[in-house]
Amino acid sequence: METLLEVRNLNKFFKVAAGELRALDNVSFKINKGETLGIVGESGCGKSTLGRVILRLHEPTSGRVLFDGMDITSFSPEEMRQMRRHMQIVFQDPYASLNPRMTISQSIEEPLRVFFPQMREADRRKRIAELMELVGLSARTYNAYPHEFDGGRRQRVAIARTLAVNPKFVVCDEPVSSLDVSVQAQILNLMVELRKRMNLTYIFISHDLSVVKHISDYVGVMYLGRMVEFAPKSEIFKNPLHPYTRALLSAIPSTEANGRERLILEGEITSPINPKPGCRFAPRCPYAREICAEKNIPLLEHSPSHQLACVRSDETIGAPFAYNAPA
Amino acid sequence: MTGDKILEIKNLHVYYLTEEETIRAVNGLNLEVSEGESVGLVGETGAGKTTACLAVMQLVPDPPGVIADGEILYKGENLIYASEKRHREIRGNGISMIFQDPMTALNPVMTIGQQLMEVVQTHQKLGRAQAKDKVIKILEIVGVKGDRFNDYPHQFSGGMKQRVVITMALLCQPELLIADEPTTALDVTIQAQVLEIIRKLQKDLGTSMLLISHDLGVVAEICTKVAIMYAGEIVEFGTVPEVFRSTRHPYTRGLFESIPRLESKSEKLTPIDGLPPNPADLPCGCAFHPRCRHRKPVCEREEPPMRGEGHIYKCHFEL
Repeated sequence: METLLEVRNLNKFFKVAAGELRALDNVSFKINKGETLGIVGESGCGKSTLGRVILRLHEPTSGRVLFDGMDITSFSPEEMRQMRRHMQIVFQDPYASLNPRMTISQSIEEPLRVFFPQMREADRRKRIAELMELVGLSARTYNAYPHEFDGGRRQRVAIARTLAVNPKFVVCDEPVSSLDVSVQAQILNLMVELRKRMNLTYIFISHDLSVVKHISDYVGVMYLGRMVEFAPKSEIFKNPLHPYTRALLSAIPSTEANGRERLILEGEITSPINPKPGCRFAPRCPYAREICAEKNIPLLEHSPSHQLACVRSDETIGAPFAYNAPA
Repeated sequence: MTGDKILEIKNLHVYYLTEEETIRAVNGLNLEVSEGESVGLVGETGAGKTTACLAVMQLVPDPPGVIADGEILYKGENLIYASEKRHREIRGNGISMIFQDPMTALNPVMTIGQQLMEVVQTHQKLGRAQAKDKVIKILEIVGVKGDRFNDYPHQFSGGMKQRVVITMALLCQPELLIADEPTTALDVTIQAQVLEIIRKLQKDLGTSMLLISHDLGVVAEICTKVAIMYAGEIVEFGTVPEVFRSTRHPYTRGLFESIPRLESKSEKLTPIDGLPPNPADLPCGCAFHPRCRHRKPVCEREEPPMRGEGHIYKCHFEL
């Protein structure tokens, strides 16, 4: 398997009035070509920042992003602009990401004009029609405006626009979170199909573990700017080791639930501003000991395919865990 | 633990009238909540869930909203014909509502103590000291420390704000609590905490509840009965095990098939074709027919009957 994207020791700190907000704290991982990495975590864990820093929509504070073997963090703005032909993003809110004064064909056309300025008018029209068909938009909506569309169809337009330049890699930042379930399923199916057809590599950011499970090959779990667990999907869902991953899985209301044991966390996410040393999750962790608050706990190899940032895993491994076992 | 009927909604129609069109948000809704019961009301955006609840609270904005037909009986009293004074008595003491977004449900320039005291002193004749005791007692039940009485909403996190909003709804011990997507704006681990609180309250206080949600999982965790709403009416109703295990209506089946599940292995979801109908231009016959896999010519012409007893569903066919 060939690595398409590698992130090494990526940091992103924001200066705020109260000090330093650590949105990304030493995050490293790799994604292979054609695979999907799901990133899960709750609001404020840095998952959206991660997607944006990878595309350099935010500049990283330090660390490197290697795309196809090239260190894009050293690229000039012009080089980076050319690079974005290969690296695209689908945003969460299709109501905010489309220009309300442009017809949808104009929206899809824009990236073509930017990246292929010599393309002939007729070819461009043909390409727009192809793209619309690809994402399941009917040709008669060519001159429609976004306000005529519901969320699902707007998200189709946003996807068509993203794919117009034939990218290799797409960051999907909560692309289905604002959609109703019946429409969400349509968009998820579309994204899976497009990945196969166009050999795309995704980073799929979501707070919804069921959605991430559906679409991902690998899953990274983030908590307050740090990656706490990283493993193939089947490992994360069958054998979650980090107490936070377990709490997340346990917290999902399930239609199958009947009397299962839940792991309900005490307290709330602590502030990412000037964080204390030690494991970020320690204040809410039922397994925490003094050692957890003393030193930083790095993401280490637990088994060849499973990385974990927890020193208490001896206990979590022992503890039986079934998030969906009916009583 | 079912007793007397607290709330009965009969053939309710709520329309929003604009210059160009009539938006038929609620179309012949029938629903009952008995004492000690919690009923989940599930549907997608635009199904009319929130409008139905606003109608029960008599808070449908008028204009443009009108309650065109039907009855809303609170313990046998028709709220539609009650006076505004009577509505104010019932709100808070009889029925109260938890709104979806805790960020906008609180007044940012008042401390939470002031806001909660206002509720108690408006609806009940209590002195300051008594009212404050009561507020602090209920705050602590939902897990907010009493020393936060003088804090402003911006000093609370989302989950904590929702607890304050829940406190507000519970202050006068209502008999019926309407919760409109109470956990939708919250993160999953915080959602789990809030659901735990709601479950505890049901057990300890025996409050009846109407829970609106688009999340079938949340309903399975909290409710005893569930009503599936589509295009302003109930298309399936029954106990949670009935509706979840022996699903009848094609729309309900579609909903279950579209949810990605942690338990399932399949690569492909089965979405419901098409889009929810435009409430200003509802299809003839069965409102679901344009999206239904089982449709026959009769579905386009005639409104389907309600089938079954107890566990009921609205369809032309025995499924």
